[in-house]
Amino acid sequence: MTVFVVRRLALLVLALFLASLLAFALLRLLPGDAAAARGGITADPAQLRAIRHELGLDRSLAEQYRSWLGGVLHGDLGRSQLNGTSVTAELGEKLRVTGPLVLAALALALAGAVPLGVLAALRHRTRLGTGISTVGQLGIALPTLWVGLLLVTVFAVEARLLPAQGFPVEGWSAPGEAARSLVLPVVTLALSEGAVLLRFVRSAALDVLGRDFLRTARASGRTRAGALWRHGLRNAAGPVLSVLGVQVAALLVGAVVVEKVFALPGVGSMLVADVGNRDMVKVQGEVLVVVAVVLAVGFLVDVAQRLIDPRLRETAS
Amino acid sequence: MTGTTWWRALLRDRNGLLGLVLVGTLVVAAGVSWVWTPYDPATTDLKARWVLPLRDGHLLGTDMLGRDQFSLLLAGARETLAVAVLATAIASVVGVALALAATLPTRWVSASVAQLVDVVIAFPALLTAMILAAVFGGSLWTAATAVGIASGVHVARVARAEIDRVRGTDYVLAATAAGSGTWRTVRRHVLPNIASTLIVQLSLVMSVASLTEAMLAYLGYGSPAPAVSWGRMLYDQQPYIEARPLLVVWPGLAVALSVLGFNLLGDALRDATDPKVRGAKAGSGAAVGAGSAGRVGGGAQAAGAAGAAVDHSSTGLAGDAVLPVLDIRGLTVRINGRTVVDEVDLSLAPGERVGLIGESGSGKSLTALAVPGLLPDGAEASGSIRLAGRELLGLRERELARVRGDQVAVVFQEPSTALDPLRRVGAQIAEPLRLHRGMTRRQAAAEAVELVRRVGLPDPEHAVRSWPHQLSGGQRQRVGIAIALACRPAVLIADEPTTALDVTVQREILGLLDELTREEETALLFITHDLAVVAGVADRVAVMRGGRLIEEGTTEEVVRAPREPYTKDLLAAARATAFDPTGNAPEHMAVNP
Repeated sequence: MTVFVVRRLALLVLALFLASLLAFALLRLLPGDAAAARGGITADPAQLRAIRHELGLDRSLAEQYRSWLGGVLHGDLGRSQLNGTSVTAELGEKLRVTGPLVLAALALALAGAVPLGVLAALRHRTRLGTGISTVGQLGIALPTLWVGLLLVTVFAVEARLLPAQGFPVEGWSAPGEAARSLVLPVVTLALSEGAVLLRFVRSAALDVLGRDFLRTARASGRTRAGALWRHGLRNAAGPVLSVLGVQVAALLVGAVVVEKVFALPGVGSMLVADVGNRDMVKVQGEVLVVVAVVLAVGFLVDVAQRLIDPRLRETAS
Repeated sequence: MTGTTWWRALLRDRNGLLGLVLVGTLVVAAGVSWVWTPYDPATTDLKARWVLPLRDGHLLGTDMLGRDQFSLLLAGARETLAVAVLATAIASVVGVALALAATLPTRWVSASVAQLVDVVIAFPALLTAMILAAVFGGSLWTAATAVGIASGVHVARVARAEIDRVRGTDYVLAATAAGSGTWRTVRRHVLPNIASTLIVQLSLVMSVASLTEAMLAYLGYGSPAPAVSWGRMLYDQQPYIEARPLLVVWPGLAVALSVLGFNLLGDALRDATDPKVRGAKAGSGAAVGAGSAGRVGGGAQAAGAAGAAVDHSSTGLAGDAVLPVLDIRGLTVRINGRTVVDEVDLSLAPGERVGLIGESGSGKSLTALAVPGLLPDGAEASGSIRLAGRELLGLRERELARVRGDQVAVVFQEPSTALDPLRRVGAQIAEPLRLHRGMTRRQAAAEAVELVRRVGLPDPEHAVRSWPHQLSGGQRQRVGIAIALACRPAVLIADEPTTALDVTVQREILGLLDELTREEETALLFITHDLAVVAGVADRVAVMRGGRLIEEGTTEEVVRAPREPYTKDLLAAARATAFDPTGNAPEHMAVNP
């Protein structure tokens, strides 16, 4: 197991390095002169040269990459080319919105998808079972942003129960208000994510229900549902975890859209704005953080799989 | 994938048909909008702003700029379809190329391609698409390229797993051995076999592309103005959502139905191209049905005998004074309306050992599994099953669960799959003790060690801590017996417990079952297709065929003087195997006097 974790950790580092290279290369595609954007139309060539030197744009690509990576390793993602603010600091602040949004949505999605998916599997021959999977199938097809707009129409515009958009200026120092403004975004994101998870939980549970060991558990005195609960869930967790690992990327993308729909000052809105401003140091940092989160979750999923399944533990080390 | 059968299966599937209709509608809308829309979708008409639906020839009304919403919807189909098709084309090229590269024989190439795929997968398509759009200006190309590459690496992963699977199959190995070159093998043998998986993956790419296109257009990174996009419509209408909520509904619905169409079609294609699923849907229940092609091969001569009733007064219980512990009367089991067990009567006296014998599909296992209520989904039992006088049929699952593992227990056929792979052996043996005896974890664990010792596993303290996959088939079956006998049940059902084992191990397991049930005076219902196996263990033998009980008697009677031709066939088959059930068998196999 230790051997596996160490080896998998080495792979993660390699992947992160590759990801930083890709993010750097992708952003070098951006045309336009950051120095000109910063200097404004009044800047003369000498000023532009000075700005360029300050931003490090007069150095070779390899050197630029090296110095960026050096900063990244110390937790410094660089400074905005537009106004010089620290990318790390801004990301940290925006994460106070995006973090709770994504985590709460994931928790809500799991809380809905696991029991409903299991129920749909247990009752898969009945109307209830097919009904649940039909609703799930529909939920997967609904675009997140549309769900958000519909929820706004119903709960904010018609019923006036919750704020339609925005986040309190004071942030979490106004906890009640902040939480209220996150309710609809969280529900929106959780519905899209939950529908996908529901589908995989159902198929994993159905698969487990057909296995012999579940019959053994029933023969030992468990009810059908009890056997699924005690033995099935652990066995179904593997495939569902794999899906979760893949779905993290979808969840982050969903956050970008949801933040835009609800005008939340999170990482997603920041990213959309920075791509629009062609602020490549910022975008590069944001892309790297998003990709790093996805890769790290993938690592955690792999480790969790082995903690659950003794057979995997033995093959890997 | 042969011929047109999958195509027909697709049309028979209700969901597949719906998917086909939805996708068809999308294609037709895109095509029609090319030549005709009620109004020019790009033209603004400030005199006709906010026209309500169904007024002035505007089917869905107009927006703040006086644009006809229905025309916009039709034209939007073009963008969605174009991005979906382009992205899918790019994904299939990228996916298959990467997958093939990842399986190249040169180790470092395949390893680095696999590593690259793992990293690129972590780049969400939406981000890449936004950056591409910022660089080259938003267009269907930037959206399709980003989705195509991101989905392509996904496809590559799936395709690679499939290629690995197919390459390990016998026919590809045979082709390679016969001198077929790498590329030829891939083209002739590998690609056709992964095609169905690819089709499904690509239909999913279409739905991802449709969703991403809408998101990009909403975020302002879609195709610029004259092009119409549903996502852009949503963006335009959002500020007016309070006044005109309906205008937000239509474009969103259009996206949702397109995505639903692609998803349903993908699912149906998977089912239709998978011969396993297709077969299951066509003839459900066939596998457990009362097949006529048996192992014994005596189908013809026994035709008349199958229906003959068994006279119970002559072959009934050994001692009439003793109340039966298990009494099955008129048991009938139906699966999807087909009768697979037909009016079976069978009873076991306390401590009695009965062999229930028949070919596969004779209904013997279903008869036995009906007792603890472990029939497969969709099977219905009627008649009467009394355990120590208590009627079991009609009990609810919760009540049956209290009986199972306590008064009646089962040893199953497949020791390799009968144990939970993710739980230690000891915990599984302890489970019935904790459920029925109310033991604490510690007490049950100690008892489990004792049970493991009784079933003859070496080093019991260590054995309870091992995982099922660490044990051999015979050892796992010993664990299965330990689980079944943990609560000292009155009746033990052994459902072909030795069929999956080696011959030598078979004898050991039989001996163990024989010894333990004798010690505990447990009534044993032993199910098998092999008369030779049952002869050594059972006092009485009941023969089943086609769902009916056709002969019953003491083991000696049946073995020495079988009445039914079918039983004679079974006997002949048994005699042809290694040991002789009538005498010269190993000690514990000997027929009881």
